[in-house]
Amino acid sequence: MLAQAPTPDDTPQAVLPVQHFIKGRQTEGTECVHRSRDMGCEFATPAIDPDALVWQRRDPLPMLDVPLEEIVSFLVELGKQLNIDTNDLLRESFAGMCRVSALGPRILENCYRDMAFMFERDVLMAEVVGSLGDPARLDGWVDHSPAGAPNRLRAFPPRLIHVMAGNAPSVAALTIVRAALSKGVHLLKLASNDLFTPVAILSTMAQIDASHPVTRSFSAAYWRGGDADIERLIYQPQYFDKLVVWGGEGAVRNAINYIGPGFELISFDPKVSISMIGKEAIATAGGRADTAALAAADVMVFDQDACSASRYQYVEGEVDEIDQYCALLAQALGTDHPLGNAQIEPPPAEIREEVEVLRTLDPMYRVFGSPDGRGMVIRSDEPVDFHPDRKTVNVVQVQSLAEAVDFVTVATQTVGIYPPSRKQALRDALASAGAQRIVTLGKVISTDTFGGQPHDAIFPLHRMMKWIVDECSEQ
Amino acid sequence: MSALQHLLDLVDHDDPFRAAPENLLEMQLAAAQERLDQRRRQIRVLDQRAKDRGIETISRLEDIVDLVFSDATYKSYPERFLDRGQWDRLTLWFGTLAGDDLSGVDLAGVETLDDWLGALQRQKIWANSSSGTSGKSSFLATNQRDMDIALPLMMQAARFTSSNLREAAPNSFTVFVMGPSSASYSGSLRSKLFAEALARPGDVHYISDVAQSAQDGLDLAALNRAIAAGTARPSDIAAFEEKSRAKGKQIEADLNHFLDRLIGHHDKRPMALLGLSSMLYTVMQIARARGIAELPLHPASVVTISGGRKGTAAPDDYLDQIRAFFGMNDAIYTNPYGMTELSGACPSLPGKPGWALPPWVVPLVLEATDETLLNPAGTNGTVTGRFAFLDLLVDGRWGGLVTGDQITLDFTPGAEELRVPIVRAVERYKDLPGDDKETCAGTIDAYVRVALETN
Repeated sequence: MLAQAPTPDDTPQAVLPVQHFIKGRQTEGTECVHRSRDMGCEFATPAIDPDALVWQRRDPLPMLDVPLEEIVSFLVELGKQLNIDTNDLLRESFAGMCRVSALGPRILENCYRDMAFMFERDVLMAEVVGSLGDPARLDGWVDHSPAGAPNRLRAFPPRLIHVMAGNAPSVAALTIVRAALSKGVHLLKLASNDLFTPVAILSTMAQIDASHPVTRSFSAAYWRGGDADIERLIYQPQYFDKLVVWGGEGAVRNAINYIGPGFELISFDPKVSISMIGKEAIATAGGRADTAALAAADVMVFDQDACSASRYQYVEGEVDEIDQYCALLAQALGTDHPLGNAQIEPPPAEIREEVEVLRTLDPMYRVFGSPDGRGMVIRSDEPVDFHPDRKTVNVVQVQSLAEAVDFVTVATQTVGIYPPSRKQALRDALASAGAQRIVTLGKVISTDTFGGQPHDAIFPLHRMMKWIVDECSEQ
Repeated sequence: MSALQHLLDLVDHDDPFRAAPENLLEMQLAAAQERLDQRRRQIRVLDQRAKDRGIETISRLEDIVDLVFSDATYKSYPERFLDRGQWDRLTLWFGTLAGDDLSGVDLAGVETLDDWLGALQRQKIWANSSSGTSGKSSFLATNQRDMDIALPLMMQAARFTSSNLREAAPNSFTVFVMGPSSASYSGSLRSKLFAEALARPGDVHYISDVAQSAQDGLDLAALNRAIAAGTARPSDIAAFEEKSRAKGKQIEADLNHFLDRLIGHHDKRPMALLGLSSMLYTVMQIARARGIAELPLHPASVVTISGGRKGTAAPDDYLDQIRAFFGMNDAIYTNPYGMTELSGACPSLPGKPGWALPPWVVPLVLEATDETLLNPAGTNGTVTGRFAFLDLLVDGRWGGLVTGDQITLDFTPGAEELRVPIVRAVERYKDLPGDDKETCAGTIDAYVRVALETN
């Protein structure tokens, strides 16, 4: 733990200053006062100058002619500086995060300590090669003759707005890494539940070299999401090519209002994740305990406030075995995990009340644990109608995992399967129904998630680029 | 006499708003204790809640705050019970929230929601329903006692506001009801009782004489679920849209026919005009489109409209427009504030904005997002927050509820020369600005097109 980890209730009345970062320079100011929704914390930002947030197309792209190798080296150096023990910017950011993020100091610290891996050379190059193929396509025009006629192709740097999500600070590092690799110019619209991490990473860049083309290619600012007075001025194809949105349905629907010819949407949609557990996994007492521990890890990801966090578990077996498993799962949810807290804010009243009624319908429904923020499991033979949240899991008894595929929809993201040997028979059907990522139970969070891997069924870096072709007969 | 009985007796009083006891809060707390003792023996969910929160005695309003349910409770049945016609399971669920024993309900031959509601009615249980934007209906149990007091309460509230009604003889009006003459839910039955008590025998005009089907009301939600599950075909969506269009045309024709009759009657003799204010606004718009500038009612008429804009695009001053168009002076016009979940309504103050809160409703004004009680520490002051209440009159279920309304409540003793709190303003939270937190966690609802939420 950090020696001077600030507590979230440190001087709670003070208005929290939030800095912006405009084209390589940190900017201060407290002209605009807002309130963060998660923690109800008042914060103040500099006034927005819309002219400063856009790049005119006549101005040269700072990174266009910078070789990929130089950018990667810069990011590797940046990664080394992203050490919370030595980086004051990160420490200040962490203190601010404790005021606006519900994750709490322990998980925030773990996230901060985890993010440097995305800046390792191997991982950066894997992201480029996995997403774009030949890295030379980033640095210039590369021969490309798919049907025989000689053409030349370039992955041309894009101009992007990134509407950030704040439920996990790693989104900041991920976005900045991909954005830098694209060589484009990037405006990061901060989320009210992560007002600090992006600016801290960018300011660390500026500390290394404020005039470096990578540093000058970034801006980060907060305005209230959906504020048309700002968005209608800058969400224009003349300034930006694409809007990259980390959903929230509200954020995605709002973004769609601005989409039109020349202004494209890349959406990481709001998603639901599930688990599938075969009867052999819960047939013995030991198996039930092991399975419950793995399953709990997948539920507790960012206190279940993430698209990859499991909410429904489809479980084969006899109801007695399943009930024993549910009891163990409820217990496992009440212990600390690297990215999940033993005790969180209890579920909202709607969930508490629905569960209160379902509890009286025992044995049709059976409830394990209670809605006290330490984890709760509801066993049923059909999925519940409400959205299981704040460490609430619906365990649904199924005759077979094949039958559970019926519950997979276009909103399904990650499916955790156990034992993994069951995967092969299921994966085509899962993908066909809408699922996008299949993992072994307990592995929802792994370092394999980043580095040339698709996300939400696309290669984001590939989608970000502008693919320009030169079909002239001359080289 | 018990405190509860004292407050219940006010139902039969001409003016419970002036006849409320001086020590109203004290009486309400004592009556709440009596109700809790009765109901927790009947309603397991309430008993469990009281145990969980450690509430044995009600000595202060905060104790009641711990015991209010929300809409979520009355919507907590799994919708598949309806999809699959699992009426026994639905009855079992409904029974956990009803004050009466439902084991005698005969489900033989029940195939639709209307059949199920009919089976309950044969057991003297009426379900009231309201549906939110999700399309999922809530079901609230009401029993014979609730139905017995429904008419006196409606009459009392309207008489409080309208001097015309106070001076009118019974069964003396030509009545126009903006609603169907029959339906499976108790709300329609209540308005029918009211209409018939006001009307000359046989002189009631409904928008439609076709019974409104509760099963039809499930179609949208069922289709949305099928779309979400990926089992709906494009032609299912087209068929629903076609049905909605046909229904829309039928409603338009009904409204035109209603208007024709209204034009024939409006100033001939005293009229009683009852129903949703949003629907009357639509009727007025149709009349205007026909070139009619005004349609003044007979000066001895009475109007009871309520329900707000119901999500329609009516302008802010729509009520003023309606009043001017139909010539509704203060003697005619009443605009009670109520909801399905309240046994009676809060009558509007004659000639001025605001509503009187009946003495049998224990008001709890809460923080918008948590359960902090904002009621003034003494009995004096005005507060704004989420409206929750314990309705001591409700007999068929527990009367404690937290609503989706933001309310401004004036507790000043003697305000408006009444002995009850005054509702100064009401807004729906869903009409107020939302939040700005971003997370990638979502639900399938985002993937079901909103276009289907029409009608």
